[in-house]
Amino acid sequence: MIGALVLGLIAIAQALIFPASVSRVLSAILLSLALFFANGRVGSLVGDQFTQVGMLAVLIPAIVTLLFHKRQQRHFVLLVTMLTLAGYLVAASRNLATLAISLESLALAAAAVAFYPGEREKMRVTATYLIFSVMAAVLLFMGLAFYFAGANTVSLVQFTQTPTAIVGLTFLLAAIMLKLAIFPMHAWAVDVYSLASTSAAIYLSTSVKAAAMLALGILLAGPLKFAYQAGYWQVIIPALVLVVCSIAAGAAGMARSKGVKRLLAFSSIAHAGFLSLVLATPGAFSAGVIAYYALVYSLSNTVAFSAPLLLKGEGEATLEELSLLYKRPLTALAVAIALISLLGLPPTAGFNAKLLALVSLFKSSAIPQWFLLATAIAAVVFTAATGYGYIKAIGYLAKKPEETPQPWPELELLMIIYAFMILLLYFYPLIPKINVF
Amino acid sequence: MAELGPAIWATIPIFVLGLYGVIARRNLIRIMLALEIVGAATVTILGAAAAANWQDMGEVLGLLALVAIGIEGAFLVALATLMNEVLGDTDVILFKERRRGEEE
Repeated sequence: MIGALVLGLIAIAQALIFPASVSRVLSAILLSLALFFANGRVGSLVGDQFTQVGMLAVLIPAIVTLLFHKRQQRHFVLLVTMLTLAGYLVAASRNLATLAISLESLALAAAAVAFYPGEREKMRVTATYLIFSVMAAVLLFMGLAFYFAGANTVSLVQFTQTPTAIVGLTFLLAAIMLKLAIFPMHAWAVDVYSLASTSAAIYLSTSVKAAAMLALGILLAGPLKFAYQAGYWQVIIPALVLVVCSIAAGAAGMARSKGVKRLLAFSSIAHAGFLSLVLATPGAFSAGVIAYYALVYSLSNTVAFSAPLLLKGEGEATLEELSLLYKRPLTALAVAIALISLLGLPPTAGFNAKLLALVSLFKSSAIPQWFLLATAIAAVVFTAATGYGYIKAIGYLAKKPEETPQPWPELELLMIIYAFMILLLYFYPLIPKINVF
Repeated sequence: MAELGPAIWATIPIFVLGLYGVIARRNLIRIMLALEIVGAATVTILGAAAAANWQDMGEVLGLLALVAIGIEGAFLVALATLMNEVLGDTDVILFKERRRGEEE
């Protein structure tokens, strides 16, 4: 793990020295290399399969953001590099204190990224993001405080069954759900992802969200599992209700969306909801499912968000404007694969991810079966409703336009590679193992 | 909650008061102040947890929470100053309505 950290620090140092045109390429290379050194253990940071898959999920959108942001700014490269390193730390954290610190460093830099490229209208995006990020920070530290007071530790496995620790766990869960934009605290995500510049939106809606997903995975493999085994499964019931409401809110928003970024912002809310179905059975398997889901979501969302970047640069593209991709068939195919994966249809990895989340839901032995069944039916029905938005977007991809888009071969090639990875992950799904101690 | 002693009774009203401020206010500076009040409640609980367990870890976490929430507060103040300079107001709802008006 030490090698990965050193490479991350070198990436930050070079971003301080070199101009943006050089540092963005170097950052992408160094952060990618760090993946190969993510093994072993340094203190409470562990490089296992879960960490490696999580790091990949954080890295995938970072590469697109670093290499293809339109207005080159040195501090933007520096912030994205720092954010990616913080995302790596979240994936590697095996201690609640380390996890909280990593999540907070991520949130601080993310608020600055939301302001890119420094225009007047981005002030609202940053203000919205900051207010919710401070709220999440407060809940996170409040949870940590109660947990520490009750359990006398911040370790993931030394769980002590006290009411104070359970209150702490509930606060921690609420903080992560706020970061994931689960209903009813989901409105901020729509504002931030649809109004931020496209490069920033790709990063915030994918990397930062993937990091929050990984944090949930770590919580599931640690204290939540022990609380569940000790009989405190009732905490999860209201969370599951909110999760289903999130999918419904996402589906409703998607049906009304006319812009691509807005559609994907609501899609991210629905996805956070579907992923959180694994809350029903906390444990190592659920954590593995979350890492796989985060990787698939990261690939699909990055390709889908790259479409407005390709067509309109940092601005918003309407769904009608997606038809411009008709003249770039391979790119249009890549975007279609990503949208089908987000919907969760075979033969894309999105199908496996959603199936595994449902399998994890039904593994629960404590929660009444009728409740699990009702939750699963509602989740599947509302996910089918999100299909309207995705199919509408795919429909525009097949519509012949009058204009021709500007080619951007490098970005298009990366989109095609990512789309190929989505197909590959369908045939070779990987559920990483997590080591907690 | 016995581990936390009387601190818990001091914290709950501070937390609720701060939360009310976050929900009810529309001025960015006031929202920031309300968030800092909620943050103060969090740090109080961390301090009480540190005293209950008599471990350095609690004090470190309390300090950390103070720094993190402080930095975010500073960031909000900077943003509010910029908003005041550019728009002449720090009302977030007004900002939203103006933008909607510009779009229409």
